Amino acid sequence: MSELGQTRRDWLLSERPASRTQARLGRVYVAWRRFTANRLAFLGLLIIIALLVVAALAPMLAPYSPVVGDLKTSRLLPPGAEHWLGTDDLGRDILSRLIYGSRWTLYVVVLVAIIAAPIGLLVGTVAGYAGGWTDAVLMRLTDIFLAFPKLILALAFVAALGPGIENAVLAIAITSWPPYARIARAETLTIRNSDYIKAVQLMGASPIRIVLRHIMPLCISSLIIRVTLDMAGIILTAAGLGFLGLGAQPPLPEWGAMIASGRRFILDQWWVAGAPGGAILIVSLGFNLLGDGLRDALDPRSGEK
Amino acid sequence: MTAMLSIEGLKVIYHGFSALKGVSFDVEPGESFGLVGESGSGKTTILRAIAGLAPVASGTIAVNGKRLGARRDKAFYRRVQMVFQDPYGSLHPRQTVDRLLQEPLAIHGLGQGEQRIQRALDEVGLGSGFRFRYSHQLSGGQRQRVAIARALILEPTILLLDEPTSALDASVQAEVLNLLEEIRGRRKLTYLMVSHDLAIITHMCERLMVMQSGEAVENLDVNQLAAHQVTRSYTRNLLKASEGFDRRTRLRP
Amino acid sequence: MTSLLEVDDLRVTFPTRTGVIEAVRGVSFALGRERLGIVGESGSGKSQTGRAIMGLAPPQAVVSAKKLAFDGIDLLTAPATERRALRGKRIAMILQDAKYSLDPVMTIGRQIVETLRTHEKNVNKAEATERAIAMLEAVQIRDPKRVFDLHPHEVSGGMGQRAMIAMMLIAGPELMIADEPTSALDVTVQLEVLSILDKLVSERGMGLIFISHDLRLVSSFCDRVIVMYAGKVMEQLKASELVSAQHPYTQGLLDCMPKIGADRHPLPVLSRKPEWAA
Repeated sequence: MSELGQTRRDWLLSERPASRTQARLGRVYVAWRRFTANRLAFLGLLIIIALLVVAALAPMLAPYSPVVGDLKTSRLLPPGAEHWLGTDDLGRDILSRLIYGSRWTLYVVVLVAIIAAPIGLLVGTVAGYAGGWTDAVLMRLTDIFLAFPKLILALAFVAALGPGIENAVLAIAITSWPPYARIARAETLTIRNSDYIKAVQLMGASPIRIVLRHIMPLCISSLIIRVTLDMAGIILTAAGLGFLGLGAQPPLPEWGAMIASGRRFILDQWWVAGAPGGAILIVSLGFNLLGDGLRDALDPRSGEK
Repeated sequence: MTAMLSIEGLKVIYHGFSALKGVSFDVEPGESFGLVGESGSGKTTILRAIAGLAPVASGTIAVNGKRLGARRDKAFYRRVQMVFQDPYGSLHPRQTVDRLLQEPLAIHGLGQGEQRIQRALDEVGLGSGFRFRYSHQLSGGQRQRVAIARALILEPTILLLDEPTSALDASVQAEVLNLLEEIRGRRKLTYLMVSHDLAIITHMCERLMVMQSGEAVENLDVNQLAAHQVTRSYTRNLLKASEGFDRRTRLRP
Repeated sequence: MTSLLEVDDLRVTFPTRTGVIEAVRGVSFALGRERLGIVGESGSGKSQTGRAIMGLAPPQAVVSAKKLAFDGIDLLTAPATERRALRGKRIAMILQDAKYSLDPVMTIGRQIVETLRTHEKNVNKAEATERAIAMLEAVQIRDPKRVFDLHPHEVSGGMGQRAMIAMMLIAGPELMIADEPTSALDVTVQLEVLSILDKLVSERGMGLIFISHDLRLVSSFCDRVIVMYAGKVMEQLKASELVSAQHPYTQGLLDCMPKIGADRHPLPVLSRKPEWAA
């Protein structure tokens, strides 16, 4: 078995890759090795993987229903054998709500990333490459969106469209893309003057082609790192919105909403707010560690091997 | 015989700074013409102006008799290509050699990619083992070979060479210069080569123009230069400097 | 001639994730008050040799030698404070590009004054300023008072290099290590800077180690030349005897450069033999 492992490693690290896939896999492998050498980063990855697994297998893992509780006998029970994390004021098992809540956390985080990052990337690279008026206009647009505090915008959305987790996601996404645009623009400005871009211009490549195929791929690692590091903040913002009653609406087991409703009992029944708080803490930490690890592993300047 | 490349009264101004102050010269088809000068002489600016990468204030550039306008079209890029100075900066850091060579083919819609890429790599002396490497996995000399392959894959007739070997070690430089010479002979290309090194220019070129501060100082035949038949003192200084340090000429106290 | 510097079996290795890189593998030479050139291509270990002597090898590097002594002082076992006292005062180093090796936020004059006052504690500011200006004059800077107040990026490459020489020589070192001091300069400026270096080194009777990739330049400037390849010394010879070099690497290196007047098509190419790197 070790022999097979050795030849596979050799194949990945080969000096003479024989195909596109081999070369790409080789690069991924090297970045992976660098990433896993960092123990904390690996821990972060494990936490996120655990989050994904829990979210995927929620129906199988949750011992009770997250929305139906036993009002008669099980209100505000402390953590014990029957209910590992206790129950809330409506008799619902907190562990089960936490497990199902992981889905909502992922929902928010993934949706915001999918909406905000591409917008930021596009705006930033176009602004950076085009320069001149385009750059000025796009950057002022970015500044306008940057000026909106997330919670105030969410309030505006709620006033207009009604409360709900979808609107919360939209509000967060709309206020999250400006930093990505700035990062992408900064990278583009550095890249724009390099010889390899000049070489492609000298082949007759159109600006769109240059931005899409040559500049964007170089901005992606910085962006991934920033998005990952932002995820902790996004979770907290969603939790904050939930806390204000503007995000997830009952009975959704969203962690922020759980903290909000548990606030009333924080002195005597600390577990109602404490458990979801702890979950947010762990997941935020996981994303932060992962982001830091990714930055170290993907830094193009530290070369390979 | 129409000159392959004809420059007349070329002036380039960058934000108020005069990089080129009215330069004229001709390059015959199949010739190798050298531009020599120190930093700030404007020699690289001429290449950039031809490539369409510099703001031309006045003057004309003509390729094979046809005057160039403000913009360059795709047909131009199939005739004129450039090899850059820094091998470490002229290849995209995230693309394999294969992808780098595919790009010009894709832009111009040329088919038979496989054969063309293979042939290009063979021509510059890189085996198929190099095809899927990334640029950071290549040495300086290998990168420059890839840059040359990339320039040649569109089958241009004119090659602009911006100090193609100044960032390379001496032994690698010899190999790359030999390669460039061999390619020129085989494909009957026209070279416009920029360098600060007189020895390289005399080796690679037939005629040359010495430049200083954006102006032409002297136009010479390489034989004249080798025989020290120069008329301007600046050229003479350059020649003397290229011979190395003379310990006999001590500074006066 | 008493040895200013004795180097015996110097080795510099770098640990990496995939093994050890041996940058310098057993370099030995002795230097008196003369000029020694160390020539090699990139990766030959010449720069690391210079830095190891200066004590400026990167922190993760492992430097070892049978003997590494400056004027009798063992550089490997001397305490850090002693080595720091040597650096700048008795051994100086100039690097390739003044733009990167001079402090960009301090004026040139201030940097020179600071260097002087670091090594000579009882010099007051006025005297230090005078000596700094005198030093700038000695490196042929025509308007030293004006240059005194300029920042490194405000002067040309050649002037910056001369300022760096001034800064490194003001404390009166006995040994100067120059790592590619003129490679970033135009060819006419190179000769000016070299003449200044030539004059000052001769006047002060200093020892000089000139590290460069340019074999011909080094052999025209130095008394002796060491040719390095893959961390080892291929050949040590007198500069005047370069044309009769014995080692095929040296011969190859000399031959492969284009020369004005010598018309060789194609240029002879150096074929590297694996046993050289063994």
